[in-house]
Amino acid sequence: MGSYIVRRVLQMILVVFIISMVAFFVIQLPPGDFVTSYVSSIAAGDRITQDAILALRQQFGLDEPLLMQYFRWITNVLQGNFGLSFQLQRTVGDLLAERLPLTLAITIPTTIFVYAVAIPIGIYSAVKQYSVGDYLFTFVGFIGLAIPNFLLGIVLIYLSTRYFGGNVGGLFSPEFENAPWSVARVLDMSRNMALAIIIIGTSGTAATMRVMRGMLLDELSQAYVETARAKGLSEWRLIMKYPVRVAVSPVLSTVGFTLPAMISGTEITATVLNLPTTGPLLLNAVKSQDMFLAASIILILSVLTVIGTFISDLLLVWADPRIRL
Amino acid sequence: MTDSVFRGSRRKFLQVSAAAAASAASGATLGFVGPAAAQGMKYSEAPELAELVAAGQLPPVEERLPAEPVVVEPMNEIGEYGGTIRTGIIQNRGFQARSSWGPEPILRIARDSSTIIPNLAESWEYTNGGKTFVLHIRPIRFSDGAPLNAACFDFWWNHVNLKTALTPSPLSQFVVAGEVPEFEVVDDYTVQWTWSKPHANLPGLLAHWVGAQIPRWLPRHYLEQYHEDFAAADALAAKVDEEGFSTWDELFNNHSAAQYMMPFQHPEQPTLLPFRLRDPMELNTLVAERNPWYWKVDPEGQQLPYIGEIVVTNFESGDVRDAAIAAGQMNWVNTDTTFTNLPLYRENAERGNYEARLWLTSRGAEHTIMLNHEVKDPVLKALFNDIRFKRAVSHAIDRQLIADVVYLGFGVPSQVQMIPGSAWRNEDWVKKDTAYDPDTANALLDEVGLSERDGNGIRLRPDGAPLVMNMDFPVDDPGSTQVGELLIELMREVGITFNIRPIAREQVRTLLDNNDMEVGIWIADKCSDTMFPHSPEWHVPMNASGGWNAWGAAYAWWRETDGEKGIEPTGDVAKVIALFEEMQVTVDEDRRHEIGTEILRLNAENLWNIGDVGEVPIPVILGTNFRNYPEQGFTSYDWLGNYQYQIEQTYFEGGEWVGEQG
Repeated sequence: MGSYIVRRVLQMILVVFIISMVAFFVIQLPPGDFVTSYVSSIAAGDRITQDAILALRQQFGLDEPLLMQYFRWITNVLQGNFGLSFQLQRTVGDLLAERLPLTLAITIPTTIFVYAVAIPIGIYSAVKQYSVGDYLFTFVGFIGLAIPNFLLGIVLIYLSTRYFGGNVGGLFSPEFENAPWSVARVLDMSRNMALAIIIIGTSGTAATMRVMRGMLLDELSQAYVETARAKGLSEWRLIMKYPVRVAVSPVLSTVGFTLPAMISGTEITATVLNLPTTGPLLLNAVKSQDMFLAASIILILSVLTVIGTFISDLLLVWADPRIRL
Repeated sequence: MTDSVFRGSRRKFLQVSAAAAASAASGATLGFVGPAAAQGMKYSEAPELAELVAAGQLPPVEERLPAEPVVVEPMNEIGEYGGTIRTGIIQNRGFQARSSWGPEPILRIARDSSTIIPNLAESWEYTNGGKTFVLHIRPIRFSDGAPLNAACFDFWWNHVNLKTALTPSPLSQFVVAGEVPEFEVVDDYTVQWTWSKPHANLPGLLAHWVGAQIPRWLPRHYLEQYHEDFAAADALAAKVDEEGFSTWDELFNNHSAAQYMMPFQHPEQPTLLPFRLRDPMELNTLVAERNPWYWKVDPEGQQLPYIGEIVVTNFESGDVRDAAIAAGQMNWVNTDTTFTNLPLYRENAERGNYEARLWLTSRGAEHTIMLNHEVKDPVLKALFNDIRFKRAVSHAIDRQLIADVVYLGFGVPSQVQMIPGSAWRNEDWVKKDTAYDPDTANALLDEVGLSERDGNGIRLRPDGAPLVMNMDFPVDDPGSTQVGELLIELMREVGITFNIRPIAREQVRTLLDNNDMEVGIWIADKCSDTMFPHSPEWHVPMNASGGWNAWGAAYAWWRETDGEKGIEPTGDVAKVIALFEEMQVTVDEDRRHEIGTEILRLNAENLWNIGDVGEVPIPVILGTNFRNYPEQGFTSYDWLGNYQYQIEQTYFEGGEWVGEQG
């Protein structure tokens, strides 16, 4: 086990290193660079001279070879300095410090929400196959899968503002926006956040629910289940102890992907819900070729993915006794 | 809300503009009364500030105000203190909110939307035969009580603008024909610049973007600690390190940054605006509060601004902001609302406690359709330079159809001339060749040698190929797409295959820079008296690297690079460029008017721009009890939003927006 972990950690470092390179270079692929995009976005064409454009490139170090730029960036990152966002003239570290906590405050409860809702429902649907409950959850599950999150967001926002006096997007109602932290403000935030969690979590819940149901159905018909039942184990203990433990494998093996998917896969939903997470920040950074900002977010996401995959592998070992290291 | 109703209001609009022009000399119309009126006045302040004074946290109002505060005549009536302006921006583009807290440029544009009047500078003059521009600085105070004086300007000019580490090349707005002026401090409150030719457009520029940008570098007393010329090397290095930057210029830029023409990150950063930053943009909101050291009062001696706070919410998309408007969460959104969403705004106005007023913008026409006069295809080039061909295209456009389909029936057929109320407006030139007349168009096309057609009815070029025109435009302007789609149909009717291609803005830039554009389309803004003299982007190919003029991009490059790149202009194009160069060095107002008229006449004659419809209004969202703001006004980049109406003298009747929640 120890040597396995060491081997995996070394692999992970290599993978992150390669990803950091790919991320940095891919951002440069579209024609032009940040200065081009800056010049074309300047409010209604303020005059900017060729000298100024050249000087801007120099100032941002964009006139250097790409490899050189990458090298400078990655050495700084290793020292904990993610560089400067060209667009916002703020350090990337500063920007992330502002948005990452909130992003995690939304994604972690969402992840918990997804598993807490999907796994029990999946188990129920499989055990009570073709019952009214199963049909109901199947129906809801398919709707959840079919509707894009952002669309669900728009519909829920419409309903909540039109009929329940809720607010449009954001985390706080207007009266709490600038209020100091208080119990009421936390409650207000949780109310708005609950909506976000449901919207972002819906499709994940639906998918997990279906996977869980399908896997468990396969297992329930296995001979070992009959054997256990013949031995007189209570039905509930039997299901939880054997088939569920096997059926949960595919869910566990994708835990690794949920972390980055929750953070980056929610750009559009976060945009619609106006949530100040890293999603919209990344979207804008890529659009304007604000490369240190974009590359840093992508790097952090890939580190999360790699760590997530590692965790899910360890979870699998723990849950499924058939896997040996 | 029908077309005719709007026409009626448009007439009224013109009358209002004319009245404003007639009384332009009177200070009251311009919203500005000289400081003399303040003599012997008794001053008072907002209750919140009075409390701070009573608590000993703030000096009394008499000490905070300058010796001679500026007296602002309210637009309609004296206001009352209190309330919160709630505005929204999209994707952190702060310019959408900038005129909600000023700006306070060095000079300013008066309420008539065209006259330039004093502001941070109490007066200016040209001496030395026009070659020296003298600025007399108003003795006022920053939001921390520090004085504004010539030393501030010296700091900005010598230690920021001429410091290559901070400003790679000096502000182009101060450069005349490649010459950086000589700067002198005359006395404590006077500075001057000298060129070898007059810089006649400088007052206009100082009342606009650059004039509003400079103040961020003026708080010398605050910025010196971040500047290598002043701060001790080790202390500066420690600050750079502590705030996570790698060089001192990054630190300096961060502390002098102004995103919305106001400090947006450091509340302690001194400002001259009516509001100062309280909570920087964090998560999605920013809050600005009344500047206790603001230097303007109303005629009763009450310190301005009346309104206490500004809350700016950032939205990641315009549609979500529109939803927030409809839900009654905004009381001040007006620079970039979507005209086609007018029904949505109007439908929810009552419930949302706001009004959707209709103002005008600086667009001479919604779009200019530009045929590249130096297009690489020689056959197209010959056609695009033939006035008969351009007139044919113009007559083939059914402008009423565009108005009906794209702009809910609003808008009147217009070429790219000046907006209503402009001193240069000429109705004949606005209307020239705008009649929808396919017969004339067909006759003209036959006349230029395009009478042969193929089996599909498409005209054949002299070289036998079918006539195809391709138009590229940025995908982010939905109006261009809709107009473009109608053009496909309209051009087919006169036998031209017209293709449109929405592409990324950066790609449009590349096409223009390499002269690869055939036909371009852009929003025809900047057609106002405030912009035209120094930035006639459509009427003169003068701005290559930052502009979007597609009919003469090659000429603009030639001008900008002194012939290194681009194509040398000849004939009337050379003439308008020469006229524009003359405008830049001509101080005399009468001659300036003649030059402008001549530029516009040459435009009407040559039809370099083909306009679609003009006078399409823009919805302006204002709280129902928001007062001292015009029923009909102008808003655009030309006035940095609508700062000419002076946010500091607006107020909420009753002291708070009626739609305030909670």
